[in-house]
Amino acid sequence: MDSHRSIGENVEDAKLLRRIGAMFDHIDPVPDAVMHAARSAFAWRDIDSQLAQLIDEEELVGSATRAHGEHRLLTFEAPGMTVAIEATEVGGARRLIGQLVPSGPNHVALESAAQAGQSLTAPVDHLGRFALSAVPAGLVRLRCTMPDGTQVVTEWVDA
Amino acid sequence: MDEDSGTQELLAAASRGDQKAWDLLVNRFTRLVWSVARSFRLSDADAADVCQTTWLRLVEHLDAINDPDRLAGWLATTARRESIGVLRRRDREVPIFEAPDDEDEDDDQDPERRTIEQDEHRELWDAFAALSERCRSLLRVLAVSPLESYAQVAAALRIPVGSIGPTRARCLERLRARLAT
Repeated sequence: MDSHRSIGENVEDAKLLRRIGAMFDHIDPVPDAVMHAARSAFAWRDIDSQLAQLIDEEELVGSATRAHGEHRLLTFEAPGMTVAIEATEVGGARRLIGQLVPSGPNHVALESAAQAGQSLTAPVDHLGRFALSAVPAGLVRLRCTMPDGTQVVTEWVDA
Repeated sequence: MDEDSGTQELLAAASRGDQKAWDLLVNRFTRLVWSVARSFRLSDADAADVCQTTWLRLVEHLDAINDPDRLAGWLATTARRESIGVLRRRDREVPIFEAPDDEDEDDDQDPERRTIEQDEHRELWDAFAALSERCRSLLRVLAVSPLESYAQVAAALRIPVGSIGPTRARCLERLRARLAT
């Protein structure tokens, strides 16, 4: 109650805000495709995997790299596992080079939010290194299976 | 479960994997996510990307949101961060030797420049359009936010929690003054 009062909600204000909401429902409604995508997002729910959260994002932007494409360093962390990725985009071609620490999984899979059910896979060497080319545009995430069977999946990134 | 179910109940059911509960959350909060993206003047396509990303992030972090009153603030904060990311990427895509043009302000894309036909909303729109950008953003977003989440939604918009009440009151007051003339 107190917090409501301090915000100053009253009947007239609430009425006017409702009119504003109705006006935008009329002139700029949420498109059906957006509602559909939001509902479909739930299909990506994956309670069995450990989430590796993005903890650091470094953009290497100098005049030289800017002219020659994008170059970013992304670091993800899950309990007991770090995933470091270098993402480059040159002339529309997106490429990822990365390393799993500790090494262990012998391949990684790249999932794309735009292409459910499909993934790109790449082998991981004994130092945990891997490379993926022809990375699809839009949101992607990496999945790897630890030697003990645990799955680790990174947060979605627009790499 | 239906539209009247509490957000807490829907969150708990969605955490257990219930698609219906998720759909009801989407119905309840997508206008908020959309309005935050629009407050950054994003085009239809960019605002759609922001919405999709925001909901995908909620899927990832569903179990971390224990307090249902925090959900609106969490969604608004996430949508804000993603919107800024889109703007940053857009900026990067502008070749350095070319000046940015006004294409982003395309009449079809920017709702704030869309003309409204003579109808019930016309008078309100004329008054609303004359407000400052800050007032327009705040009122549009608050209009689709639950009252109990105002403070957190305001924080997501970078409006100090302490000034949300006065700012909102001032914006509504200006709107009323314009409606009266």
